[in-house]
Amino acid sequence: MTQDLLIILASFVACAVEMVEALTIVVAAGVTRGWRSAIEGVLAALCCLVVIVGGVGVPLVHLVPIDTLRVIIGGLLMILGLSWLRKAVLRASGHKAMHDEDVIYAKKVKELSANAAVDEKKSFLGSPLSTLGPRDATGFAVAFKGVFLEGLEVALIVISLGSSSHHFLNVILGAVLAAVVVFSIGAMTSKYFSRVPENKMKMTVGILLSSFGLFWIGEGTKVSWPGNDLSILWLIGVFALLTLAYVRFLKNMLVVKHNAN
Amino acid sequence: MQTKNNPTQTTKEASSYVKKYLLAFVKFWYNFLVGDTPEFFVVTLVVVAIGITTHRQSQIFILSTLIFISLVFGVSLYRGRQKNT
Repeated sequence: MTQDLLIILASFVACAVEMVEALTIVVAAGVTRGWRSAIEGVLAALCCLVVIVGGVGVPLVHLVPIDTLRVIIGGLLMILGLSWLRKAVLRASGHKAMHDEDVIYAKKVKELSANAAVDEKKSFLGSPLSTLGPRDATGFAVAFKGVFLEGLEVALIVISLGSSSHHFLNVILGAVLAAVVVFSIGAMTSKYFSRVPENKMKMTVGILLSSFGLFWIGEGTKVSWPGNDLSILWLIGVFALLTLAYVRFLKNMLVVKHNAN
Repeated sequence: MQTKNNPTQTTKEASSYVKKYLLAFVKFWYNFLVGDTPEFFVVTLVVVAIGITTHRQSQIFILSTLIFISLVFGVSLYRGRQKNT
């Protein structure tokens, strides 16, 4: 039961972070280049992702022995989790600029608006772009790229968590919940993006993925965990405490350095 | 005279496409697994090696400590690079 809830939570938070990033790009493409192409880009990317998940994820679960799969997937989760955790620690301690969805949105809108001005000029001069009709190649490409790349990470998380834990339904439930929450907020207004505490979410996901990664490497290599499945709880607790203490230490170091200057 | 549908040319084009996609595939996985944080890739290999070779209760503490040390090392490396630039 505890592991079920933790898997749903890990899948929900990890997928939500990626979906917020994808949605930011799609809204920017939709607002500046028209919604038709942006939506087509999203649908095309989703189709590609379904093919990849079906082609890779399903055979993986049936063909590879479970222990080998756990070690490989655990390793992938650990690498992904540790890189997220590193970024989150650097941002939380003030050593790296915060990941601001508002800034990314504004930057994307500016880039796409500049391209739109050039495209209008080209269309007026009779370039092939004028034959595109109401469709917009740039809007499609930007939306496709955003959803496909962020979606690949979602797919990787879903396949990893699902195949290692054999709780595919819980993982998919977490991902679907994340999609519903993120896209409901996105449908209401893009202004809410900046209110999502992305760095805190990233830190939580980093801790969860690193803990699950270590746990599954241990399961795959027959490590005897004290408390069996419950050990995932103390692993998460230990990593969370150590990370928070480390962020505090780094922050203090920065303050001391500023005062010395 | 060489036509557009010359089989040798078509095979060459096909093999260059395969090469290109293969390279892109390798590059994607290299960036994902190693990228600018090779320390996390190395620590993962070490964790797997320790998991396979030793089977003691204490290894859990060793593995957790190793992972945290790699995080500290990764953060320090980034800060070091920032200082140098």
